[in-house]
Amino acid sequence: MAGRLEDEEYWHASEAKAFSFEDDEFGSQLCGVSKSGTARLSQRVREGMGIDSTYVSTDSLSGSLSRATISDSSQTAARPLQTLISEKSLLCILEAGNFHEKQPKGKLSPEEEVRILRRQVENRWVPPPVNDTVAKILLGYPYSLELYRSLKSKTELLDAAIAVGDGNAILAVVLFLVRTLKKNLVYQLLRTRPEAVAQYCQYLAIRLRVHELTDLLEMLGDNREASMKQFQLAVCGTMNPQRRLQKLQACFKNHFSLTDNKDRLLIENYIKLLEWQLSMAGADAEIAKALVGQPVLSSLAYTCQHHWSEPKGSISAPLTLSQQQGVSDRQFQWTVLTVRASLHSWDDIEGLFITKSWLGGKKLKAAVSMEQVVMQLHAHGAPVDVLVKYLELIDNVDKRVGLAQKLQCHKAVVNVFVAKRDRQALISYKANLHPQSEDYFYAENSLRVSTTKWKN
Amino acid sequence: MASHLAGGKVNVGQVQELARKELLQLLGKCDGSKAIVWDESLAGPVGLVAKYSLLRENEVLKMFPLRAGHLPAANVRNIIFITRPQLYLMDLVADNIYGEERASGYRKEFHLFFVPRKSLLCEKWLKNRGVFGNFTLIEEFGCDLFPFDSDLMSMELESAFKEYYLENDPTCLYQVAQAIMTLQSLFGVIPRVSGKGPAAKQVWDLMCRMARERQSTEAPGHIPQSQIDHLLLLDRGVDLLTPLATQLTYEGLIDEIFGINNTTAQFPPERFTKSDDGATDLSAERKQIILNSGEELFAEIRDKNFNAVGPALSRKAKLISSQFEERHGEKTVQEIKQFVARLPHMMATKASLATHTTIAELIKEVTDSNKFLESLQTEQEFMNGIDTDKVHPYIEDCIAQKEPLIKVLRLICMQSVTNSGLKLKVLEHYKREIIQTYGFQHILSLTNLENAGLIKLQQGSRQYTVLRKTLRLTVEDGSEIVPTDISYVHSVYAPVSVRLAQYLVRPNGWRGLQDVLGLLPGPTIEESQSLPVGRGPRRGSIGSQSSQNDMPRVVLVFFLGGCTFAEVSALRFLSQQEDSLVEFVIATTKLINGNTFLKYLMEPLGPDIPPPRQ
Repeated sequence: MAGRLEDEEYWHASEAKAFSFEDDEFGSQLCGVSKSGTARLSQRVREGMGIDSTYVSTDSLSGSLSRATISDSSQTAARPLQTLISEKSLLCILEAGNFHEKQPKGKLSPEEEVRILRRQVENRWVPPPVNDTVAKILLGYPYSLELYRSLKSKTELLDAAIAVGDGNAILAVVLFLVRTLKKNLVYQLLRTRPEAVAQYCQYLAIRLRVHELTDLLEMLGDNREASMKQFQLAVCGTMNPQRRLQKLQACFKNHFSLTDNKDRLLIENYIKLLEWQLSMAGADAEIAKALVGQPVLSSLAYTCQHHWSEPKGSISAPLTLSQQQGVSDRQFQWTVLTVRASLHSWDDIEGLFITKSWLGGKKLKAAVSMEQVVMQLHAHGAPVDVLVKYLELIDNVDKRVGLAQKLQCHKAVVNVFVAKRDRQALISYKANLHPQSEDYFYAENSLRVSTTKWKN
Repeated sequence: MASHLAGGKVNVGQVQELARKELLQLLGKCDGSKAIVWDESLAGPVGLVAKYSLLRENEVLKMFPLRAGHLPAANVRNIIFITRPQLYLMDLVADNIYGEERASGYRKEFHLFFVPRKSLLCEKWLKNRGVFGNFTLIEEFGCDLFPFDSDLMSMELESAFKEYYLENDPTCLYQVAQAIMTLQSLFGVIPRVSGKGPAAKQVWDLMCRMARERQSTEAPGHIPQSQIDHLLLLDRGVDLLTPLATQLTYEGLIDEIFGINNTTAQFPPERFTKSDDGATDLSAERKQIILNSGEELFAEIRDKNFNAVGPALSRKAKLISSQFEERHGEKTVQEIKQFVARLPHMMATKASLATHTTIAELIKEVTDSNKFLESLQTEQEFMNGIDTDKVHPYIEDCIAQKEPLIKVLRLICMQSVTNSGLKLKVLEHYKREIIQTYGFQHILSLTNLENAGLIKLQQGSRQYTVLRKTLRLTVEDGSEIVPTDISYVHSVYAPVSVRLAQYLVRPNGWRGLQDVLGLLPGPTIEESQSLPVGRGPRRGSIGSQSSQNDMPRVVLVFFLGGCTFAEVSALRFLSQQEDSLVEFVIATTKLINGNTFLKYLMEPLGPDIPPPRQ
């Protein structure tokens, strides 16, 4: 591929002297070689025309033929034939035989012959207008791109395809360019033509030609796209977790290691998570099997379920994982709450939200709203006194009463009325309670407490 | 020609006719009995063009969906694959052919029809799989537009937006331009063309080019008179908010909740009484209902805000029962005869009333739920510019509750658009929460949404705030039942896209709107196409503005990248206004809603599923 351009230059440059070159070297030898039908005819015709040996020797060059004809215009013998058949058609007939010539000509080296043949083709067909070719691609007619040989004509062809806007045509041309041009020239052309890049990227991605794809994207300066493509392949193309981890690590090293990469942290965390999951799968094989490939929070839920009592700092402890992955307090508390509540470990939840300061006081450190905590506890069937404990922690009293009533936590409601010193409200609320129920007695006792200074 | 297509000023039935003719001509090329194997995404749309009965008349004995593995046995001479040019479909085709080749029995001929165009890659793929030579015919079924209703056509290109905005692939725009050329060959050259957005510009350029090429190749003379006065090309990229917003029209809600594909929706069957109609497919697990303007009642309520549907249904119910009551009165023979003549129509109305009452009940169960209301409230806050600049607690809740990811993303995208971009801290928080809850592989989808501009970082200017004011995007007049403005389709919010159309058809056009247009992405197009001599608009002798007043102008709105049912309803609402001098005809690459819109932008998901997509 590399040599082609040079070849071309060579032929452009050597066009002028080609005439004499052939003339001297093997002009006469042609006569000695046996020829197939049309070639033989051509020879005979030429002999009939009475053209000199120079002419015969150049039967492969249309340009020289016409020149010869003009220069030999005084020779009348040629005339009748030319009036019968156009020069062009004649030439076609004459040329046809030469292509079937299978025998290598005497002293002709194969390279030289290739050159001659190539020149024949080159000179005979000038590339059709680019728009015609693109139209042919669009209409699904047979077409050939091989005739576009110079960089200029190839560029024009590509631009014509892009102007038409049909991905199919663009791709056809791009593939042709990739096949016939040096890589750096292709990149140079693509750099200013995003439509062509898009088509080619798609093509490479479909064929999983990853290296070429990332090369291309990086070459074009689209590092993010390149790294994302690599990431996508590492994640979606690899089922086996160990393999995926390896690929991710390699991908991270090659594409995400720059500190200004904004996806860096995410990928790093993903690798850590996979490593962690695999190490867990090693430790407790059976239960952890389903763990690999799970999101962070599901993994966290797993540790909350199976490794809750692990000491701080142990690799499988929930807090370790949570810190490693930068899980927000809110998400951490919510996950722990959900898991421990489903296991009915109400005490653990208390430890989660309420810290005892070393002076013995209690402090609430909840990132989740207490209403949601209560709802979640209720959903997991927490007993009433647990619910009441958390209801008390809802600051907004109206909301607390509303939720308590909804969840039938009468004690919490009663407590609110006592705190408000609202005797009337408490009495009327008591009337709605089941007589002789525990809540009923609780309300009655609250009313009877002498220390309360009722406001009504 | 189906009756529901012919009602408008522009006879969409002609589009159907054209496609049908082409299909039948293609089928005619295959001699003898045939079986058609459908790419499933096409079976529905082509069904809008040619019914099965028509195909049967043309010796199509069997129809199969294109699936992996073997074809079901069919005793036919020709097997015709009709597919989109997609590589994964080519694999299925190849599989099918291998299966058939191995099976005993007499040889069948294989044909492949690409819709709408052949693809180089697909043909290469088939060659690689070694089945390319098995085809007797490889043809193109150039059906670009599928007729949905008398004012609605869709190209059914579901990934058009993705291809253009994410993959930078303009092929879909080429197809759009071709579709417009087809429309022009049926309905005449459209004298005026307006548009907004990069895709619109590209389509316009392609149209010009195609027009030039056709001029040079085709003999003039058979171009019909212009029946469409104005073409509006709207790039979806100009208005990303509208598809994200929950649609609140009857048809829009059906689409949001149950999904409408090719004018057909599926419902849980147990809620429908058996007597509805005899045509229900007994084997079907879901109840299929065709929704188009052929059904009088549906045409009446489809564009209404859902809050107005209940009253409309009960009014209709009263009317029907009073009509049925009439038979008890004393009657002359003549009157009874008239009554009996009306009976079939009344029975049909009664049946459709029962159907739509059931559908409305099903919808109401959803719209009354807390989840729906909370989510809607959040949306409306965003549209009104409330709390758009910080992490929204409702979105956090949705993530914590593991609501479907698409719902979460839809809200985040809305917040991003209405805040004219998110703050870095907010975006990173959302990202981390999503990845930790739903999995790391969603980095890809999030990146896609960023690349498509649905999620972006804030950059100084607050376009949305300005747009909201100048275009009056939020209107809280509570006039859902008797709407006064297009904002009724989302109860609060008026789609940007439809506002643009509304301004365009005013006497001043977009002239007063330059500032606003400057805020929207991409170039603005205001061009005209020269008409062939004597092919001007058929009305009035001279095309002056004043002489057109008696006849409404026909405006074709072409959505590049999809449009929602709510937008369609809003445009219909504009046409129906009493002082309206405009009739809108709508074409789109695909009918979308927030979920389907985002779904195509997301990477194929699931922790351990390999990418099936191209």
